[in-house]
Amino acid sequence: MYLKLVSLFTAIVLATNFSFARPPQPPEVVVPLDANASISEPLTKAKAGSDFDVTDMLRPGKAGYFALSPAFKFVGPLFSEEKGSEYVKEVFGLLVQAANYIASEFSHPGYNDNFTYWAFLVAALVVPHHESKLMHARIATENLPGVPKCSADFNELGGAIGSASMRPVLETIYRQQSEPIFPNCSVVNKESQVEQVMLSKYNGCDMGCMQINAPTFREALMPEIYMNLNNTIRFGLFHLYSKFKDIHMNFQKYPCMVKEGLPGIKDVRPSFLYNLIRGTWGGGYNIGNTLPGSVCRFTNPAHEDYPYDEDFKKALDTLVLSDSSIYHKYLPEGTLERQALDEIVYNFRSAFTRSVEREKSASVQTVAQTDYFSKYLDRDNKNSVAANYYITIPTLVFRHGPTYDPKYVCGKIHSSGLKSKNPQPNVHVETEWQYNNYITGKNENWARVKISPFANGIEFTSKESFCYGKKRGDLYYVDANLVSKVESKDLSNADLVGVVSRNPVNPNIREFYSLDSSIIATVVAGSSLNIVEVATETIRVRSSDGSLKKRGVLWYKVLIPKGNGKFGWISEQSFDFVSERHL
Amino acid sequence: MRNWILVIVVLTTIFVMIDRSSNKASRSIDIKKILNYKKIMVADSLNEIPSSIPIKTGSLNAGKTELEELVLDPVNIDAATLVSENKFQIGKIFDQAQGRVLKLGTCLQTANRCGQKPEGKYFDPDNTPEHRNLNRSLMVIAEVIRQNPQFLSELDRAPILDLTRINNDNTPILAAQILLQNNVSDEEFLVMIRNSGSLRGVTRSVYLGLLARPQDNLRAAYTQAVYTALTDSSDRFTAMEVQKNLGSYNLGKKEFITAIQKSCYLRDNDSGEDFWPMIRRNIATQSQLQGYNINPDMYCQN
Repeated sequence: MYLKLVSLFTAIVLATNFSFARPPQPPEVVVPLDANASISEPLTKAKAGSDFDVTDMLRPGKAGYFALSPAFKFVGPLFSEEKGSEYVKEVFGLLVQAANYIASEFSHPGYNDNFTYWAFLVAALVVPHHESKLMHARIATENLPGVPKCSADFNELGGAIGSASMRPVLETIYRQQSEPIFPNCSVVNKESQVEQVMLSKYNGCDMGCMQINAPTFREALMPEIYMNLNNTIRFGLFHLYSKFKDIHMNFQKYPCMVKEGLPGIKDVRPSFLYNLIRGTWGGGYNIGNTLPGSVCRFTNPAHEDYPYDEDFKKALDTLVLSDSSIYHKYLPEGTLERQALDEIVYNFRSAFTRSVEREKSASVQTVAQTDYFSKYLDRDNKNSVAANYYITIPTLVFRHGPTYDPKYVCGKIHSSGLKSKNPQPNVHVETEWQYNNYITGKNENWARVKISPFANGIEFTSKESFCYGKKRGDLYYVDANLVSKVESKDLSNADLVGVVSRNPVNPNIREFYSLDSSIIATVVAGSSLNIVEVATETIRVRSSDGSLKKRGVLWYKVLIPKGNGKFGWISEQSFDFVSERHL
Repeated sequence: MRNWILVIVVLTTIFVMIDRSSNKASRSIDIKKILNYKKIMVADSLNEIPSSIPIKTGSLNAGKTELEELVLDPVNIDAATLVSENKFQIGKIFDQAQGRVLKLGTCLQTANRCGQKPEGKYFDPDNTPEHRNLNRSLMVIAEVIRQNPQFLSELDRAPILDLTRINNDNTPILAAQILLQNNVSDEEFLVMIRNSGSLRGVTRSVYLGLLARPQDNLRAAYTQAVYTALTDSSDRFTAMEVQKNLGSYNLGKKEFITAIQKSCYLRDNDSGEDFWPMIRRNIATQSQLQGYNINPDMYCQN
């Protein structure tokens, strides 16, 4: 035990002489450090390499894959050999963003001992590294050795796939639809390339890059999570954090967390944070409980699962000791993400050296603000709702994703525009669907919206750093029950549909814009328009007593000046339906 | 004698056939759970069952799934829709959910957790698949009561009350929410308070918030439960989560300050990391939520 601690501490301390943008160096031999030596002495960076083999990401041994229907798109990056660096960069970015958000309570700008925060970031990186080598979804193409386009065992739910409790879920969601997400291989094999998502072949139960145990967390099997990399990562990291924090706060319960210290060295953090990550994974994440025997099994070679802990340790060491992790392999030196990785490792190591250096976090903060994911939202598989919606309450919050957690508010839309005679479409709903909230267990209606560049009363939350972008035109999420669809049969066949908005700079110029909020043409206020057709539509607005009332709006189909001869629709006036005429 | 046996067998067979036939009839009504909602409402108001009912397609396909399965099945149908679209069988749904609560609530408190085995290696004794099923049943009960408050009088409260000591993320919260929809007796409230001692982390923090009590004869017991959660140094994780939620316990200013003082010890730890910035921020935030202008530094001096 003592020798183990000495060698562990030695390796960690030796690993601490860290510099950014360093040139490639030949591996150095780790020299055992005298435990009595002062840790303020110059240290040598360990480059001993790791015996953890960063193998071919495309073919991790224990992974199996479901092939997706050509009609269904995975939401997130897909690994391919040509785009390996891009994939790892984006997975890294999403992991850091989620971990930064989740553990932010332990991060305090200006303090240099936010060790818990940095330890959790390391844990967030190493857990998927160990569990799946970051693999969640990939592209299989023709004649790719060892990468079949479809496995009948998986897609047709052979006996070994899924446990008794998860098979009905898989069958209901992924197999019983008219166009199943996991079709028979005969359907998939016709395609030249196929998108695939990973399920552990080892036990047929653990899903994706976070290897979430599906029998326990059946809600994670829902496409909103399993078929969406960002949601998978968040689901896994929230779970990891709950165990991490529990063990951390109650470390006295665990013999393996006790601050033994090393001879001559009073500071005992080295073993603590390192062991905290190991115990959190082995007990909380891998086994599912925080009993001392589970959390500390990595100190018990007689435990049947001890070899897994050794494997996890190897993965951890590639990250914090030998710089030989998958992240190190795929994130090129000098890139933002590599610098962020280096900062995380540096700050984690600082805990072991009582470094007086300030934390380095500029790149991590930049990564936390970078948009890695919105480009994939267009791959969402919901049926598009090509219509404008009006909000039905005075103020509607918009969020980064389907959650009611107040921390996730990106901003607010105030509906003052509804009172005008020409109500403007505040939000353009792209998709609307039912989301199973894994926290409450309830199904909720959510809508993904694009906020009109011209909508009034948009207020972005200034402190929010977790939203993708902070501008109009970006994609956000709202409670679908609080927006009301513009109903009109007459408009369904129009070439272009839009409304006139007041130009905030020049009130005499009205922009004519389409449902997707792009400007089609400008119209000078007061100019005559060539009206081709008139249509009526209804919207529902919430009146002051809270009830929903229908309002009629007259639309004119006009020939847009300089509009390439296309027709567009323009709203000109609205009126309230009287009760006996309500639809 | 043989003749009698033969008669009994024949009668039993006939009875079973009639019963099945009757079940088929009720199954045909089950299919009507997929009714167009507006038509149900109209039919309901006319006190008749619509004769021609369109079948909705999609995930809610009751033609393939029995009501009994749907009660347990959060994938096919959420609790609100299950209840709203089965107005004719709501009593049956309520009974099934209550029966399942009784069964699971009892066996999940045994050491072997209803005899469940790990699927894969993972097995969290406080969060098993059967806990999910139990929570689903509680959601169904809550939804039945929400849509039909008259079912409150048919609620078997004792088994629900017993669930408030199950340390699952959602079980005690859901159970408390159901119980609190009706007047909670003093005895029940004291049991709920006592059971909070079995809960941990965020669950206990949220649970105590649900029980926040105005000034009355049980106020002292409630406040003491908050203090106990804050001062149990053997579970700092729970103490920290409760401290993070102090603003939801409806504490008076004096009580609030006492709570702060009782939890100051959380800043001291042996992990080599100063937690005071985090604790200070938590206290300041919760103080603001309660409308108190409290400087944490005044009450937690190092």
